[in-house]
Amino acid sequence: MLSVVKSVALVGMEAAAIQVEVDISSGLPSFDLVGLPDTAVKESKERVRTAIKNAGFEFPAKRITVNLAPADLKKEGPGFDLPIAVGILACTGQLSNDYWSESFFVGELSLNGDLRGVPGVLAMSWSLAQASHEVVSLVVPEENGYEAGLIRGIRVFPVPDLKKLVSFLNGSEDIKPVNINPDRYLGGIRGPEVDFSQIRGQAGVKRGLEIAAAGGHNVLLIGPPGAGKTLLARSLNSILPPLDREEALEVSRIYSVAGLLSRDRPLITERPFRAPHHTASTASVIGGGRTPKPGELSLATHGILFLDELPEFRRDVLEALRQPLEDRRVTISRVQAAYEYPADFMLVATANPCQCGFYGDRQRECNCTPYQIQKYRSKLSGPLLDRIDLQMEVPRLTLEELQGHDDGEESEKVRERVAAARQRQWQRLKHYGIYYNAQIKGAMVRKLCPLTPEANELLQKAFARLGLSMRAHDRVIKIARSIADLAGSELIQGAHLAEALQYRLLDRATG
Amino acid sequence: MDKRQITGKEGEELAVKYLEEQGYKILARNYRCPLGEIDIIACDNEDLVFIEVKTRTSLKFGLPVESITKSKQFRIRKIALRYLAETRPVYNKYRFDVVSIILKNGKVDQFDIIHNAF
Repeated sequence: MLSVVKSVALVGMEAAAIQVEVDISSGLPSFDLVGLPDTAVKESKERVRTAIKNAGFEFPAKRITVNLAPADLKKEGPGFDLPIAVGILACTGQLSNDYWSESFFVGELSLNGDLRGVPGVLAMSWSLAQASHEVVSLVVPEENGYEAGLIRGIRVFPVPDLKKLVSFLNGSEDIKPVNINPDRYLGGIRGPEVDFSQIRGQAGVKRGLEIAAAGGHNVLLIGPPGAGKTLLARSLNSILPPLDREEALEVSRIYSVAGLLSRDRPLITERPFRAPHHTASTASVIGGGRTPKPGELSLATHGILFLDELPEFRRDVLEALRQPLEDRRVTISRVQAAYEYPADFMLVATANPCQCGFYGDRQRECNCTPYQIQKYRSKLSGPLLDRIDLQMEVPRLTLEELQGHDDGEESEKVRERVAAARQRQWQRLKHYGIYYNAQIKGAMVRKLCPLTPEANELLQKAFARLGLSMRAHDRVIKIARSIADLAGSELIQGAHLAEALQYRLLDRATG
Repeated sequence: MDKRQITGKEGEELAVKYLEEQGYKILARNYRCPLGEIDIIACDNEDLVFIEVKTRTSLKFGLPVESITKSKQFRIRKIALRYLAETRPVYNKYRFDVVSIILKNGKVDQFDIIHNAF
């Protein structure tokens, strides 16, 4: 007898429908599994056999053949345990009706018949809901019910174990589909963050960070050791507006694929702040593996990728950032398929001005040779620096500043201004499917960022004096756009542009 | 003969009786060679059939058929080849059947035959 059970596999962020075909015929007891299974899928034979027996059902001593179709797609992970078990139970007549044939099944079985959670269920349920016009049913382990239930347009049934599932499918027990409103998790208490008011002095840098937050621009902070670069960077999250529902779902889908969602945290509600150590490999930052998993770039989507001590990162890691910084997506190619993950993050990096860290310091002397300074700086390539919109110097504080009582503004107030500026941008940009200024691409800059004649004249002068690249030219305008948005001005004035120009620290230094 | 051998013998007798009823012609029983033994060799119409009989009195160690492992199948195949080489019978087709018998209190509880088992 043959039964076909529907299941799902993930290819990147998208779900692919898989047919699990189970055939049972008479013959010596055997259990064959075909259809390009990887090791975890092959081992599901043993889990399924034991789980069915221990859940109190009969495992047929017959010839069982399981095929995972389409046969050319590599199947990985333990998520096929459940559909295989359902197929065997259906084949042996242990399910009294064929309701099972209408649902998708995903889940790992433990030896006692309990269902264990698998990664990627949120992405699967989102993708299934997108792909079909009618409402489909998805049976998942109870643990994954919370994340899968966040998606509308799909019925998600959380099941604790095989026994419950069978009585549910046979109609003797009722399981209610979960439907969780994502808003329940959103807007909750913010985690412990560094508040802006806790940072002494550095008013200029704070202003720069506010602009960066408003427009989603990339930032490089340069300064001597102990000036507060890391603290400032960490405080940036506190002035960003909270994630909205769409953003939270997109971030959570990436975390789901990476297996980072849990029962207690089915939805990522805080802006990601990813701070990989500078020894990180290209694969861990960009994403990789035999079947590529999302890397730090993608996990930082809609949040901040913080690279502390930028020049210490491996050269190949930094150069690999260039394309995602421009495209806001990262594509990882493998022979079997190309996997695409979002990489829409704000890059925040810190660096010392030279190896000893005191070049340009007001109090301490730098003891680097010119050659050492040049060598240290050459670790950061021009094309990478070109993509960092705001380059700011973080000077060391004087004793008066340090002991002063000037606490500065609280993050909440700054966040309100940032949110207002983002709202203004969104009104202007929503027709183009983007949210903030940093996402504006190429030719759209001229159209969306009109300059006053005064500003235009200033820009032309600066362009000639500093020898800006075309990309830097566009980026200066985009920063000016964000400054104007913070000021509530529709046109970019000369003052806005002048302020924007001063954040091109490294262009000025070399120009 | 110990208890297990008696059980085995009993099962084989039952199997022979059943096969003869089904029209099999028994050619040899307990064909022995240095490689091992085949319980029954019979012919069923045009086919030459090598039959392994497995009898059990309890399911504590699994079903009778579960004891016919890959290596056991391989051994039976080898013995069959040996038999063919020795006797050179003229048949178009050969196959392997497995008879599985569960005995309870000396009575047949379950009797299964798997045709063309491997």
